Amino acid sequence: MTIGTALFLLVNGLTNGAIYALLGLGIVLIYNVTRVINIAQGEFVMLGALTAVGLSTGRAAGGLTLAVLAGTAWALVALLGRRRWRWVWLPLAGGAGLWWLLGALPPWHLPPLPAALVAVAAVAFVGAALYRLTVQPVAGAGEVVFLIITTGLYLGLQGLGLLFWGPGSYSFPSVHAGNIHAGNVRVSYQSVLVLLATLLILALLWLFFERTLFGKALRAAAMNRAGARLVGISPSRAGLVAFAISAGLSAVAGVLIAPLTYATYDMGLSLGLKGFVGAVVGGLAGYPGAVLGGLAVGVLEAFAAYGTSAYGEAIVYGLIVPVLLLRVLAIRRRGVAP
Amino acid sequence: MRRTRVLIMGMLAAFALLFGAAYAQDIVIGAAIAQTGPASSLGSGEVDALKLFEQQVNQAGGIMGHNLKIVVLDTASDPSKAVLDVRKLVSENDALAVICCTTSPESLAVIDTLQRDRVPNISLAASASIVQPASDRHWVFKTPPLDSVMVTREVADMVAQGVKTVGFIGFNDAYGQGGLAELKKAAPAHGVDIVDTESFARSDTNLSSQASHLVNANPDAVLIWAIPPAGNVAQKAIQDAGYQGVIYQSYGMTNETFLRLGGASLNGTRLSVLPVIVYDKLPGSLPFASTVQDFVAQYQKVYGSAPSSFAGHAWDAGLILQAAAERVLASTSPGDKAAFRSALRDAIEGLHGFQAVDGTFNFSPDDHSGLGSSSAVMVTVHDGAYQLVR
Repeated sequence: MTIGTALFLLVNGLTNGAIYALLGLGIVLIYNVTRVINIAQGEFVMLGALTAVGLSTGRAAGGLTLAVLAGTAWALVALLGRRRWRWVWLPLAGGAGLWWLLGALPPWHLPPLPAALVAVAAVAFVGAALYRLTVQPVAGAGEVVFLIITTGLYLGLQGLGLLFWGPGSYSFPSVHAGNIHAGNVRVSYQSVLVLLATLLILALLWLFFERTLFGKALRAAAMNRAGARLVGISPSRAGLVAFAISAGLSAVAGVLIAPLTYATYDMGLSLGLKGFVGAVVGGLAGYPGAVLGGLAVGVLEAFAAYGTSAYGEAIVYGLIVPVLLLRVLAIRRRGVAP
Repeated sequence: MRRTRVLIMGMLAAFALLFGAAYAQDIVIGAAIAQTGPASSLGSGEVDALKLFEQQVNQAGGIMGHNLKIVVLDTASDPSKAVLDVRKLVSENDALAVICCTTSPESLAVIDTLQRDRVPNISLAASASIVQPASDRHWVFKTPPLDSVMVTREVADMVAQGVKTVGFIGFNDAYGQGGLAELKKAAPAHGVDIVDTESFARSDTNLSSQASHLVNANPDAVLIWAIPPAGNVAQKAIQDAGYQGVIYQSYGMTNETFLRLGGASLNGTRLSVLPVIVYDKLPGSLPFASTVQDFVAQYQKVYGSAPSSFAGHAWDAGLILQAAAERVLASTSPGDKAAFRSALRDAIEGLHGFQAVDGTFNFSPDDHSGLGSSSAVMVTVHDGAYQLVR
């Protein structure tokens, strides 16, 4: 392997790793705040990518339909929870009206950037609504119940993806096609964009968690739920925000990765799993750990696929076993109860 | 009261039986096709062709007066789902024959079930191991040509292009490894060296690592053995890695998705394809040219676009089962399922010089594929269309 090849693989691995890092961040954020291990994390990537493609190519904007559906259900649940039966017609009429509007409007052909932004916002909203509809009603349940719920979410969202967009593959235009040549190493502009966007998001997240009251409240809810509650932080509101941010992060990942590959309704699972492996490698607790873990998984995957393409995937997924063993050993040595 | 009701029920049942015997029984064919999942872009054309075939046969009076009924189930491109589908088709729908499946892993997975239940199957997938060894594949036939036929045609073209070294990249499943095995036989025989082999999973979206390994080996030509969209991903990755040589694709790529996703970047790509892909350019000297053109005309009339080669495989499965059933119906009633299935199988094996869309089928007890090298046509891609080589 020449230096050039190694650098190429490194950049390539970092690009994919950045995507896994965004997913891992979302998984850790949700886990910290709500104790939910979100199997459906990758489906937010799929929704983000396909909604953006739909908005820019004039195909049925399934993501928006999903957002309308989820919003209607959310409003209904909120009303029924407060026993305000008289107002039930309001969200139903609103939802039906919006649905009609989506169908009646001429097909949209948004430029890539607005399409991406609308898609991310829609998916973040869907994430929040899904928290309200599926996780919050059983907030005190154990982790196994959450695991089953999110597995159901994964199956349901993938099914909806198939329903909305069909089994085809779609490409999304990159903001700027072509490659940068640095010596004999080629880097596509999209890769640079992926890395820059990830850095920007990390910076924004850092500001949010360190500098805003809401971010600090989220951190408090993650560290000590009971304590956070005592000082007036609503756990359900924290969970709602965690799901919205997490779904939005994954949608950003989807929009970023769509030009590098083809977007399909079943793209979510393998991305979500690799994000999960990254999060576990990083300890499933800290945000820097999740980012470094995701990057490590991406780089390892690139080199493993180069070295022995037949076992590339097996090596990535197999990584989780030694990492967990090492963690258990480390905990034992420190004498902390596992 | 109760007795009268039983009496009436009994009479109704007797009537139903009588009329059932008077009317010709349906010939039920089960089809397990990948309508969703990674292989869905192949399966959709197959289902369209089967629906059209069923309609055409029944409009023309059925198979010797018997109505043809094709029951289609979705395998979701999943081998275990395919096995369930086949079981359901055989036990619940009483299928007399099965058309299964779209992909090689699915087709291999259902062999045991079919052999045990003694139901003839026509597979629409590529791998040779679906019908070889013929002694263990008594009930299994297939319509797509063997990989060996298509690979040998491509290697012969490589030699004509002056290619001395070739790199291979393909699926890590039965389809990709089948192509590799045939390349390993055909390339040395033609004096071409295989300098690198890479594999990837059907669902992989990033193949840059494999591509740069291939490009570093610097072969004169690269052979990609995959289906869309993964085959497009592979070609894009190889071109992005700066590869300048000739790129060969497999005949598994020849549907609309391949050309639509690839666009102008596919110019100069070479592949051996089935006659149906270049139906409008076929010389009339080929004995099956009119069968191909007839099929394409009917398909286009209904669906408005030219059929994929996979649609052709499904059409051929229909043609073969129709021809075999016509022979069997003279002596066996479809009511006796076991006897009919067995006779149907023997009749398929006896088809010789049978002109269909994929070429001339010559089945025999040793050859359940039946297609010779006459069915492979070499083409290049130019501006989103295929051009005949030579």
